[in-house]
Order: sequence, then structure tokens, then C-alpha cells
Amino acid sequence: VIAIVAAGQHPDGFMRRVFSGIWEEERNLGDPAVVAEVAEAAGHDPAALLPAAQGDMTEAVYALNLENAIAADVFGSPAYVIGGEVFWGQDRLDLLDDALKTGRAAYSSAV
Amino acid sequence: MAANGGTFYGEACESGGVSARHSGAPQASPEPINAVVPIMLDASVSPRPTGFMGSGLSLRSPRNDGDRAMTNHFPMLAAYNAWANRRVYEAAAKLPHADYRADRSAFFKSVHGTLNHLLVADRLWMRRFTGEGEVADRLDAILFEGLGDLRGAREAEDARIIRYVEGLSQSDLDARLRYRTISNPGDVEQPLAPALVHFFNHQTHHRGQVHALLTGLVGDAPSLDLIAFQRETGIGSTEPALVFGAQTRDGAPHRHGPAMPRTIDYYFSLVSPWAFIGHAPFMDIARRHGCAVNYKPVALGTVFAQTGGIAPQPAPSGAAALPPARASALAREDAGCRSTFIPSIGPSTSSSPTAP
Repeated sequence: VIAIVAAGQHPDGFMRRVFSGIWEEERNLGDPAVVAEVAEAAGHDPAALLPAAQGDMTEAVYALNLENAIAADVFGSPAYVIGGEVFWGQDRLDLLDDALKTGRAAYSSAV
Repeated sequence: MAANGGTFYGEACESGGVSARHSGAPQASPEPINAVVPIMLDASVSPRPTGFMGSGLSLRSPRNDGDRAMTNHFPMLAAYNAWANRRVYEAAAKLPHADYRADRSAFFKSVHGTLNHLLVADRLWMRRFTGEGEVADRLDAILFEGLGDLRGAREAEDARIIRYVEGLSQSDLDARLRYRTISNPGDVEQPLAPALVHFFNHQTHHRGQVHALLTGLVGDAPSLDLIAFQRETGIGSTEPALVFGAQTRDGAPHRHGPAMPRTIDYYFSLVSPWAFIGHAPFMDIARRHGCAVNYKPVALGTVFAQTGGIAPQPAPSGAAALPPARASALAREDAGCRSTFIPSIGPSTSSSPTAP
């Protein structure tokens, strides 16, 4: 995903295929060949993507994401953070939707 | 029809009707009529002349126009208005006080006068659209002397506009709007949709004047192009905009401001079943609200370990769902949470997923 975004492409299609591969089709997404196949199906070039995905930049961004997650009070997946407010879990998506609809200010525990 | 057209456009704009700038005494209270009545399909019984505002243009509603339904662009324009205003106010806040108020020969003279006029006009139209809210009695009224107060009211109004427009149905857009004009008192009746087009066009018109004033004062002004907004937010394209490089070295997430920002940091792990369940609905929400998405895959186990969370326990056969104990407990406590259908899924027993 990091490598796709770094290439300026949208990871949505790839993510949907990976999610579905792991959770519905019981595919082994630890296998680079499977990842390459899924990436290609999502319209990406696996020859360019996989080396980037295994490179230092990806590792660094991955580590930085973790730092950001801890700093942002994220404690699980998925978490949607907007304006410093954490919406944790897919069952809070309604609340995120409402917050965006009303345009209210973000709640924050910061004082 | 010319008089009618002049009255209409003269409402909140200088190009017709009575000039607000040179009208000495305060104008009569607008007493707007806000009835929205269904559009009449039979044009022959309609009191209005044919053609759009006498221009000879045929601007018919989609329903009158066979199968050629139009996309509703008003939510995009409402989001664009809020976005562009934020940019303009940020730039205006950097002006020295004297420059902010300097008469630089714009129709409403200064940045101060023009920004106030925009709020006056938007409040007036929102009163006509909704029947609610305060209205000033002059188009050149100064609602707030200080930029800080004006900005707060502006942001509240922009959020109100977004809420209003997102609630409009096609039949609302097709309905006719009746209101009383302010500068040259008289009753006007027209379909709502073109009035909304004027509303957003008018904002852009005067915001452009502020842009010119800013350029003259400081030699620079933020881009206000609709296309820039579309590229930044993904509205107008099929996918939400990408945000790349938004990681912050000091770990500081986006600070909360007076209103919801339009970028969402999306932390997820591809091996999280809840992330899987939430992905498609989340993308829909981001797209619907024109939010940019900052994809931030994270190492799930490390987050749990460092924050005291409890990782989902593997299901023995791969058939059962994986409810993280903390998630279900919190979800129950969360009064605002509505029930969401959760399909029965299980992890692959054989996979050891790669880093996302």
C-alpha cells in the first residue's frame, strides 16, 4: 500500500483485493507471488511495485506510521483520525459520517 | 423581463438593480417569502415568461427534460466554498490591519468590506432557502469589525450551507422558490436550482475580488480554482484524493481546528478483519464528503503492545468471527453507535500476511 501511494496511485482497488484474499479466499498474502498477482489484477505493475514495497522507504514510512499512530492515540485497526479525533473501529463509521455531515469541530482530549 | 432580471442579479451583486454602495438610507427589511412549491409542469399556466431570466436560454429542470438527468453538483460547490473561504481567510489574517481595511477600489472597497458582504449575501440567501437565520438590511453591512469574529461566523455559515445542500433532494431542487428582493423590493419566483447556482457563483465572484485585492497588497494569493479543489479533495474524480508525505516526524497529528478538516488519517492493518469490514463503507464516506484520505498502514501487533490494546484471538477453525473483547465492550457503551451488520468471517489458517 505504501509503495502504491508513493507511486501516486490509488491503493483502494489493491486493498479490496487483499482484504478479500485474506478474509474470504484464504489466500497466502505472505507469498510475494500472490501479492504480485493481486497487484497486477488491481492495475499496478508488480515488477515496479514489489521491489519498492520491500525497500527501505517502505520500511521507514511503515515505522513512521506507527509513531504517528501512537502519538495520535490510535490503539487498534481500523482507526480513522480527523482533526485529532480518533474514530476507532468500523462500527464508529456512522459517527464519522455524522461528524462530517454536521461539520462540527473535532473533539479532543487535549487541554 | 429585463427589469426582473436586473432585480434578481442586483440582489447581492453590483451588476444590476440599485447599487448598494450608493444607496444612502438603510434598505427596507427584506421580509423574504420562503415558500417552496412544486414546479408546474405545464408552462402555459405558469406566470413566468419563457426562457431563463429573459435571456432566451432554456434552462429547464431535469424532470422537464426527458431522461437527461443532471448530476447534483451542489454538495461539491458547498464544500468548495468552505475550502476556498478557508484559504482566503488564512491569507487575509496575515495582512496588516491597515491593509485589511484599505479601500482599494473594489466594489465593496476593501478585503474587510468584501468579506463582510459575502457573509451578508450568503445569510440572506440561506434565509430565503430555509426561512431561518439572521439577515442584514443592507448589502454593504459590516457584520463584524474584527476578522476573528467574522471568520468564526463564516465557518459556521459554511458548515450550515454544507448541511443544507446535502439535505436537498431532486424534488427540492425542482421546486420553485418565492422571495422578496431587497434592493428593489418586489416578489420573485423561480426554481430553486438556478438560485443555488447564483448563490455559489456570487461567492466565487466576490472571492475573486478578494483574491485581486490580496494580490495587489502582498503580491500573492492562494489558488482558488475549483479544479485545484477537485484535485486536492478528489471531488469530481472517482476516488478520494491521495495525501502523500503527510507523516509527521514529531508524531503530531493534524491539530484540531474550529471545524472538521477534510483530510482523514486512515490507520489500518490488512490483517485486521475489522479494517476489512469497514473499508468499503469508509471509502464511501470519504468520497461522499469529499475528504482526502491519508493511507497509513500500521503494524497491528506493535500498536496493541504499546497502547495496552488486546489483539484479536485467532479462531480455532477459521469459521468464527473475531470480536476483540475491547471493541465489543466499547461498542456497547457507545450510546451514539448504531448497529452495523457484521458478516461471519474468519482468517485463513494458512496465511501469514505480508506487511501491508
